[in-house]
Amino acid sequence: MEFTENSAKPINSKGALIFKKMLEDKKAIHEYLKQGGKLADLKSKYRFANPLSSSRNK
Amino acid sequence: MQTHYPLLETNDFSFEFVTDRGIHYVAYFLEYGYMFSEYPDFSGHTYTFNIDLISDESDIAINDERVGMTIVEIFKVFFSKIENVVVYVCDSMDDRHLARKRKFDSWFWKYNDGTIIKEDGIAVVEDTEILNSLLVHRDNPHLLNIILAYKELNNRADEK
Repeated sequence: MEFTENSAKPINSKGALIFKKMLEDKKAIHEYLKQGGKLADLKSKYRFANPLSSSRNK
Repeated sequence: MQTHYPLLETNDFSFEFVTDRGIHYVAYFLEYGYMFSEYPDFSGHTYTFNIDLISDESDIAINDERVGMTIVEIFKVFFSKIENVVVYVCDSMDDRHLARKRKFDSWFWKYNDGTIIKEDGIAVVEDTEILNSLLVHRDNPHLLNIILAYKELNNRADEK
């Protein structure tokens, strides 16, 4: 089964896919930052949470 | 008395801080609702957490207690919305991931005031162990179901 971070389909049977995806995202962002990239440039590729609104929007 | 480093709000989707040694960290959360997609009560509040270096190649597992204080402070801010759920994985890009996890764990137990509950898991994926942890507010109304769902996620990781 294939999925992307933008997929709306539930993935409820393959924890492996999720953990692998988490590691892949982490590594990809790490490499991007290591090369001098900015998180802001990745906004369209990853769904970053706004940590402040996530905490304030009660 | 030591305190956490000031959190820099340089954009809308991350926290940044700079240590006394000039090491620049960025901490961010990614939306991962599909992790618990069969649990609509909390899937919409599920995130992963990562912390990375911007300016230096030094490992996060340095002996700087204020880094630990700052990470826990970030979680305190994030979990001021008690519905939030966080899962993070320890990368195994090198042989230091166990040391990083031990450091993170020690910081967590030292500076967490009990507000945040932590559960550890090991997902076996293609014969590789992925160390991961769940963080959830102790007052989250779905606490038990979240923990059960998290454990199930780990237990089912090696399913074909």
